[in-house]
Amino acid sequence: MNDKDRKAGIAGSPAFRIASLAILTALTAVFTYMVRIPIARTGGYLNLGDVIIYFTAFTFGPVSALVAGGLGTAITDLISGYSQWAPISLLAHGLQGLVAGLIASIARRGKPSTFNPLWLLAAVAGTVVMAGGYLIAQILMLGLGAALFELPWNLLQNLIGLAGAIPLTIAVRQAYPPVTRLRW
Amino acid sequence: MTPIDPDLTVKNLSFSYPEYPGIAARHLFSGLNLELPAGNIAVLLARPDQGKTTLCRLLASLVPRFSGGRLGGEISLGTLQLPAQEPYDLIEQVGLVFQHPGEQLLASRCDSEVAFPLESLGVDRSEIETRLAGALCTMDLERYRYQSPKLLSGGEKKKLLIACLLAVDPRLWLLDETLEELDSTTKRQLLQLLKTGHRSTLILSAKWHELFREYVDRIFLMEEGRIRVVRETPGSPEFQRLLLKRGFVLPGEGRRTGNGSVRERASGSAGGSAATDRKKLLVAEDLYFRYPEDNRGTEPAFTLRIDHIDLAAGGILAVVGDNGSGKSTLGRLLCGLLSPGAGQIRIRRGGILQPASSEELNRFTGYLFQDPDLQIFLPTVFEELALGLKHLSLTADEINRRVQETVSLFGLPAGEAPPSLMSYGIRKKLQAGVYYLLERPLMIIDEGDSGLSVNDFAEMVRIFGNEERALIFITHDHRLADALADEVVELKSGSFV
Amino acid sequence: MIAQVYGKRGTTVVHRYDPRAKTLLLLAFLVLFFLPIRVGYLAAYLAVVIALSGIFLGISNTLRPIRLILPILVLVLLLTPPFYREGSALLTVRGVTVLSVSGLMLALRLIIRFSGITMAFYLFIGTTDPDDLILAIRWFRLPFSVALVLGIALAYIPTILTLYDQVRDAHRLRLAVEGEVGMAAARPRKRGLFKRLREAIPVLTSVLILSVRRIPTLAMALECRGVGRKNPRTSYHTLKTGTALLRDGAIATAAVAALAISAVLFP
Repeated sequence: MNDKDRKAGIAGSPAFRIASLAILTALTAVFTYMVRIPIARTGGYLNLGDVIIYFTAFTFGPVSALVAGGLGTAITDLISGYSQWAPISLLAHGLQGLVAGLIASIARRGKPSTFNPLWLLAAVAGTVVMAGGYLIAQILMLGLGAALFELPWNLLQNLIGLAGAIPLTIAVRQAYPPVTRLRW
Repeated sequence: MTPIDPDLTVKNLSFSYPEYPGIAARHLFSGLNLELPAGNIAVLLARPDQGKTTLCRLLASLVPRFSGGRLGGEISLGTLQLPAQEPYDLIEQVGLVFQHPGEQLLASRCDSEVAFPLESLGVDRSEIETRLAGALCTMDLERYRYQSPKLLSGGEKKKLLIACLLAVDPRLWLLDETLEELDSTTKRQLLQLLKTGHRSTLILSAKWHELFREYVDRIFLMEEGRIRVVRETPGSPEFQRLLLKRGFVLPGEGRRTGNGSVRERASGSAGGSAATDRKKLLVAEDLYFRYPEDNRGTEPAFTLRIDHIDLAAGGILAVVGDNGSGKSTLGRLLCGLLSPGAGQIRIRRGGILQPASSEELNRFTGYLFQDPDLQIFLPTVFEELALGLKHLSLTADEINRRVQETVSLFGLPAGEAPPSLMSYGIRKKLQAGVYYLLERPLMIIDEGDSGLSVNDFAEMVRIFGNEERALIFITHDHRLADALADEVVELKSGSFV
Repeated sequence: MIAQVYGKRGTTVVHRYDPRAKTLLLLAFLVLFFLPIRVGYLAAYLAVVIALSGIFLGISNTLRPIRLILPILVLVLLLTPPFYREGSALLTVRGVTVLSVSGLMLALRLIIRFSGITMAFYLFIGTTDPDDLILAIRWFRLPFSVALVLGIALAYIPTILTLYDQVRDAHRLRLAVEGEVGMAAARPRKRGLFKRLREAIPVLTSVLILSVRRIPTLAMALECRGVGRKNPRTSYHTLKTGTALLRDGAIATAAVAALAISAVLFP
């Protein structure tokens, strides 16, 4: 059995997938929770959750980003006192990860540890999904005015996400090349 | 005497990890043979980085499954060929206790943890309860039944993992450095348990424990990818010579290498050292620190009270103590990561001893954490070493020269490969190299002897204990402390004894 | 609720109430707050939820989510009326309706609705053991692997948080140089946002590498405990069954019925 078969083997193993999703979900929850920059914003804070969601999407693929993004942000909402947002975070961030992951994995040219222009497109799509999702939910829950107020913050959030995810993805791949084998 | 049939047979085993660009494939074993008779307890002595953990994982069929690499030879348990099995199908045959318990604990409660493998096996509830209760009771963990495993101490976590194995009761037990960090009562209990149960057990250890003599049937030694049976009787001079020759003990260990200068250059007691103030690099007095109760409840509150510590240039102080005695807290106070509630730390700046702020301590001290990976983030060894030199405005040639000097001093691999792919021991040495280049006057090494062979660790102490610097090293190992330090202090519940 | 997840578990009647039945009640309240009933009645239902929370979670705990959402509520109060200016005017500026009754009422409705949803969720999560929640999710037919992902993720969150602190310390010590304090940055300023992000990259890189390296090890731990076997799994822990479950279910059904009747009687 050559190395390729073996790689395919472990990626298919349920234990591997569970382990991968669990750790990525925990990372997402921590990044969303631990680095919080409270500014004059309501309903939350600027956080690094989108950084890790995009990182997961670029490095691990759409399914991982869907689960880690959705569950990770939902868990953070549940344990930080914002549990009312958990179902919305689950959907909005889950789809954000899924969409970004799908686009980012379409093609790649050059070595894995270099910048992939598709990441920009992936992040734009992710932003639309996430900000759009929150917008709809917030119109229903908070009315049009408040929802529109929140919108620019969500966009900023995604910009930070992309600005952080790009150097982070490259740095991790360069310092720890086997990370590309963990993708499934 | 009829020969006992071997239960575990390893024949001509060879294994190498996959290669990466810049790193040749790591060959761990070649022509390795091992025979363990049924019901026997055997100890396998192997220095760090020789492949203890890899061997365990090979026996449990986890490697090369999760790591890639090339495997040759035969591993069989009775008539069962192990590498052909999937690990989850083997759990009733082979049981493994990981070296780091935190990596193996899965559940939110102790009873769930022990129940987990039984649930996987499809055992029904009432039988799970019986086996679970029995296992927890035997390991004296009944009172933790509903608690989270995270709240247990290191030794108790290992006991919990043993309980998990007891509940399943596999044919072959693999204990990867399980006896480290257990107090002697628990060690004895565990060995007694294994003996009375007649379980085929392989204990892997980087150190020889005297307790093995009473309980262990067979001793193996791993060297250069092979295993040899140790026939020398433990306790005999030949045995000691063997341990010395193979790098398991230091020359002169057990005897204080005296130059007669006790407390000349370092001291942890009220009298202070004999060095004059002019030569002292650091003096800490009346330190008081109260650890708040961790809101996660994982650390108990305790108080650290230290009357006096001082170190002169070239002084080496060893701090020994059990887990939870406050060793790391002391280290963190001395490097400015924590601020003392009371007391004063003075360091030599501008030629005189002056009180130091946290930031000043940060710059004065280097701290080698037990985990070398905490600060690795760059793609090559060179970049990691050169990072600290950036602000010095040196020429590229000078930076190069210093880096190369450090590389040879610590025996690091040169080249373009990422540090994260290198062995644990090399990463620890890299960490040391980074701080060597930073030229901090005071170095603190936290549990540096775990993961490094005694000779490598002694070399590290020698490098940092030179005439311009002072060194504090924190360890569990009394013998090592006695052999290498000018002065040894023992911490117990936050105070020097 | 951090204490809930990582610390002590609660023991009141509501804490021990079956989570599946609690889910039913939660859904009922959510629907209720979206119904077009009079604002006054909605306020009454809100009061009920707040009272329940005060009784079973304590006053200070109840004030916490209220404090957290107060800024949003103010925002809604201020920003909703400008978009809804039909109907009788309350405030006119130079002949243009700036504030209307319907706008104000809508704002109030939204405020009460959002508060109601918030407190209902808070009460639900605050009185439910995470393990029971995961068991309930499995009962609702979610596969075991998802439950395992959730359980292990919850266990790893504190581990990674600790890792983050340690990595920060290690980087800070290493990079401490004359004249600067390295990573232990000074007062945060909003303008320095992207700069701070850039400075955080080395720490985040180390944290990510350390975390990602644990994936194969965790997978090994799982397979050592039999994850991946083909035989069906049994479960040591179960939720309530038998009469206890029937009783909890009956209470929930009765409560939902009461709410439904109330909604019809007081539209």
